[in-house]
Amino acid sequence: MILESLQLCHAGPIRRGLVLGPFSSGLNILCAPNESGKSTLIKTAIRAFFDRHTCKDAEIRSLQPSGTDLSPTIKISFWIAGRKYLLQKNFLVAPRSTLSEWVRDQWEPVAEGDKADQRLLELFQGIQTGRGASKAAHWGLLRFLWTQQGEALAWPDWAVPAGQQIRSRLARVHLDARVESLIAGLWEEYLVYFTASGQVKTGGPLKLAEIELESLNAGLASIESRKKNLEEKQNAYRNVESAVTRLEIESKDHEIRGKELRELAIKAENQRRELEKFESELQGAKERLSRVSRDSERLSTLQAGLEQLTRAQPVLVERLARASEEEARISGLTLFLESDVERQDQAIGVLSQQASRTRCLMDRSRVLLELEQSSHRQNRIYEQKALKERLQNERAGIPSITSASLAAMEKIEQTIRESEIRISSVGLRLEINPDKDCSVSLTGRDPETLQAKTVKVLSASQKVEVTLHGWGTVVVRSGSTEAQKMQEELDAEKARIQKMLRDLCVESTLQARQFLERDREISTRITVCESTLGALLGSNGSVERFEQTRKKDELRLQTLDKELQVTAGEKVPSLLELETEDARIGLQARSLDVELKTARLKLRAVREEFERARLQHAEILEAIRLAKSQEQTVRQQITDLRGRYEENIDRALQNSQNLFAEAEARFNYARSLLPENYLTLPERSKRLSLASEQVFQELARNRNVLAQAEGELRSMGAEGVFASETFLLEKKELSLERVKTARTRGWGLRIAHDLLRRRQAEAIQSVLAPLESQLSSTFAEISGDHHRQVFLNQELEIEGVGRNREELVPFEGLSQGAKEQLILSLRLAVALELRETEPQLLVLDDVLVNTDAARQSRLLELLEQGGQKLQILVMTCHPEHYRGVGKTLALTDC
Amino acid sequence: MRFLHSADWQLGARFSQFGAKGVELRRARLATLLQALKLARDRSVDAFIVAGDLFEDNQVEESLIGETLDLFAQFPSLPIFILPGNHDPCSGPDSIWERRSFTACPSHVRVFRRPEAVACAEGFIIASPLRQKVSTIDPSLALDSLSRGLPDGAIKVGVTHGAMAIPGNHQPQDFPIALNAASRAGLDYLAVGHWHNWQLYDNDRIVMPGTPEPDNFEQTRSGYVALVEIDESGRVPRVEQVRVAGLSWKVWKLDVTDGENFRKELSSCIREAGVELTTVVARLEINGSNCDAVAMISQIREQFAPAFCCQIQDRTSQALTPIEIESIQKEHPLLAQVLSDISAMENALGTTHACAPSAEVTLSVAEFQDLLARGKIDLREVRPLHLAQARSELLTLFQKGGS
Repeated sequence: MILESLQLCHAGPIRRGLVLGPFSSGLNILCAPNESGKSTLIKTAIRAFFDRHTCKDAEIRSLQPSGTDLSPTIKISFWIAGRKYLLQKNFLVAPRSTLSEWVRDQWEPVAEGDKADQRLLELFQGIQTGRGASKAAHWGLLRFLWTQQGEALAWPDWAVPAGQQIRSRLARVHLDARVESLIAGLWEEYLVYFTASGQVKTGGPLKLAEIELESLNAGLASIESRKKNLEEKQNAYRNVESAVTRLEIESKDHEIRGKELRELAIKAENQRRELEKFESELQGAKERLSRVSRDSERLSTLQAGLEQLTRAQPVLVERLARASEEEARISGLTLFLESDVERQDQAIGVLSQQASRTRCLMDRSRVLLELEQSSHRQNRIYEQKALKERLQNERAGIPSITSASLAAMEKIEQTIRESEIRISSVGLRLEINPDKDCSVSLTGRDPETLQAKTVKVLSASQKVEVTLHGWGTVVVRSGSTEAQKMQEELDAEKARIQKMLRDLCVESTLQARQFLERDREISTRITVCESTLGALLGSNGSVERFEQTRKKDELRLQTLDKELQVTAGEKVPSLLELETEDARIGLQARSLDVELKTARLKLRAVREEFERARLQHAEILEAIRLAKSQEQTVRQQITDLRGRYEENIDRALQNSQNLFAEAEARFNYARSLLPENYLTLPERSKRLSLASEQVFQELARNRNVLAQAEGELRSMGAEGVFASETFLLEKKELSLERVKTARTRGWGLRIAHDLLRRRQAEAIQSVLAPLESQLSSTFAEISGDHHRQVFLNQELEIEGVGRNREELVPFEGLSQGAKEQLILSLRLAVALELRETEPQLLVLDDVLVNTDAARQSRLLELLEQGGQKLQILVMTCHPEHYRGVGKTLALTDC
Repeated sequence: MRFLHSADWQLGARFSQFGAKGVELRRARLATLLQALKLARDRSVDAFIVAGDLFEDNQVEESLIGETLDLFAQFPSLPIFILPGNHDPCSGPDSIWERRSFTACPSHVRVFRRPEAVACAEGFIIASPLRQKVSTIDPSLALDSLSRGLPDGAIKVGVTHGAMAIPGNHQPQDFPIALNAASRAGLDYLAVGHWHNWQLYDNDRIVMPGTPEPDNFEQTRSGYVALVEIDESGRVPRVEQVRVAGLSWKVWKLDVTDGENFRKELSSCIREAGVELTTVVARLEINGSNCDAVAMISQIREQFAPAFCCQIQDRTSQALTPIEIESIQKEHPLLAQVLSDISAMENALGTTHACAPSAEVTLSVAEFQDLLARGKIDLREVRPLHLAQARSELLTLFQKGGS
């Protein structure tokens, strides 16, 4: 198209009306300041060409001058397809659209309203939109030729049909119309099933089939769940049913067993009663048999005993005779032995008397000897005793002084001496040499007598107050504190030793020492005396006891003398002789004693033997008596036993045995008829009854569950789940087929379409070289760099610039200036290509904002050259950049 | 004693592969049952025996049971004996036989719910029904003891359901019936159901008549009932195989490659189908490649439109005539390349197409995968049929554009 003039009212900043044009058929430069309405003119023109006049979209509303309800109005005069048209369009308020054609020097209406809008779309190869405003993709060729403000750096998408058309023309590819129509057809069909991005199309046949399939699957899942539920119920029913069957069998079994048990119990009871009767009979027979057997056995025993007794009596008499003889013999022997023992006893008695006198004599001799010895010792004892008493008396007169007290006093004396020396060296020293005897008193001390012409030295620590009797008191002060303190200590020590001396009743320490040494000496002598005395006293211990012992010995001697009747002139053998006699008598006595013991032993043995013989004799006598008594008793018992039975006792025994055997046989038979465990029958019956009750309850419970399950199963069985499933499965089969068919068709269409597009793109790629060369040449002109080349991809998008494809700088990596120059080059190429079939207007609204002055001047040359073939409208707010080129336009008011 | 022995009616059977036609196929079985009942009445049989699987499942709809009983009710003088089979076992309260429809059914209809012997004409019918869907126990064993308890000289007809215990020919849990089950139990005849083709065993004393109405294309000896006549005990029964099926299931294979030959084959099919095409359940397996394949398929559909049911398995592929191939290669090289690409991908997926114009450089699988990714298509899901569809769409549109 070629633009002739353009008039705009009430749009953007244009509140009244502006006119632009007439345009030249070449390069047109519209220079106007910012916000003067340059861009609004182009924007409104595009809206007028491609949007319905009735459109009230925000895009259209944005054309209105802000804050007004004015109706954006445009009037455009243009050439297209060799014809001149005038478009008049009002938006929003009283919308109107009129398309007129210049025919025979006047405007003739072509179409109005929607038709006019439609006609314009056809003229500009625009795409019909919905209710809203059109988008850039709908603007046909103008999308690629009219550059609005801010679009200098981006190239529109080639994907629109106009883009495809331009692309094929640029690439000089003769695209097969059949293939083009194939691609379009395939795509159109594909979009029935899927969206362009490959998603299943909402509302499309595939989606509908899938939804139906999902719904069927949900239904089938529900049925499957019901079937599973049914199956579980069936299993549960079968389990309960088998439990009921088992319990019924068990219950019947219990019933039968109970009946059997009851019958068995009744029978057993009858048999038990009969058994008891037989048992009683058997017991009677047994007792009788036992009694008769016992009597029979006893009779036999008695008879045997009687016989034995009868046989034993003569033997006993014979034994009695022998025992009597033996008794007599032993009695004689006993008498002999008793006389022998008596004789020996007498001999021992004589010997004993001799021994006793000898020993008494020996005692007397020893006492006499002892008395003599003790008489001598008695004198020495008395001497020692007297000495000891004298020493003790002496010791009692000595003051009691210990070594410790003496040592303490000596130590104090030593201290006093040392103190006096120190005081004398540091304290006061007062030397008094009186002319005559006098006395002097020092304060705190006893008066002292001073002899005439004798120097008396008085020492004091610090102060001494001397009273000179008859003269007065003299006070001398030293002023030394240490001497005073030492004096005080000295005085204290002296007082202390004086007290000790007084306590010990001695005058001085020296005397105390003498006393102590004397005391020690006496003590030693007493010890020696006591030792000697102890040795003399011996075992007596004391003098008193020694004297007592002597008195005893003297008394003993008198007693022995009296006992032995020793006369004064009698010659008493010596002690040695007596001891020899005593030894002889002892030997003889021991010999006699042995003999006597032997005789006594023999006597005892004989006596024991005699006792035994006597006892035996008595026993035999008793045995004879007992035998006779027993014989009598047995005979009486035999008589009694036989008296119990009228018949012979043996026959009675035989009868009892027969009766017992019969009773026992009856009892055993009756017992054999009883069941072995008949005693446990009541317990078993009770257990069985309990078990039956349990089974009954369990059975009742299971029957209830079974009845419930049966009801549920009946109702579930009648639901016809299988039929429902069949219905759904058959529908699902159809649905699956529909899904499969739709998907297959959709995918087939997409595969065919994409393969065709791919091959088409490859074809374009193969012929890109001329276009790349043209663009490279243009860009080289602009940039002044002829070594670089512009590279395009198969979509005819600028890939980048570089010396070769491997080293190219991607388009995104280029500077803003380079980008806008490349895009402008491509637009020029597009416009030049399109002008081959139709003159074209290239609109460039502020497209060189990033281009430097040098390149801008080169671009102007290119634009001038382009203006020879194209109508170009450059809009700018920088008139200085475009001076001297093209036709300068100005916005003028209507 | 004369009776009609049928089995495996499978009323309410599922025909998923036929979609909506399943309803009609089910109705056809009811119609066949009516024919069989009429036959029994016309032949004055003493009993109409169903040896199991009267119904397809225990959970069929109540209306079907009502319709079935309505059919039985039309023949009140015809004693009908029904044995539950493995599809409709008497397995519990949810089974058909415990529904009120059957517990209160007409007196001439007797359902064997447990092994029992009932008097019928000059003999006895001894039944061993199935109470579960699977079992390894021979159901005919129950007939032995029942048979021994019956008087000698009486005609004994056993009825049970299961697979014949032919080694390698039956499933262990499929109620295996001994091949000598009839003679072993001292039966004059053992009516068995389970397999859907007509079969005889044990010196023709065991008869398995198969399903009276075929239900798939593989059955060759189905569609029959057995009319049996036994004069006296011990005599060989006279068994008449009577066809009652209302529908014929037929499979035809056609090839569209040679148009002339195709037309001949199609005519032959129609002739074979006979005049009663309306009773034919047809499956047509169409193979080959032809540029007119679509039209040919349409022709088949048209010819078989009257058929009761027609299932067409279209395995044809759109083809090009040599002229078209030449024209495409010369005038539409892009299209020729794409067709070649499709063939290359078919080769890669394991199928070949001979009618594709050749191209010097074809598509690689990786490139194809990239191309598919734009349309969110996973290569692993792409099947030859999708490529065939792509070719078909291309050529159909191309040919449409040309015309």
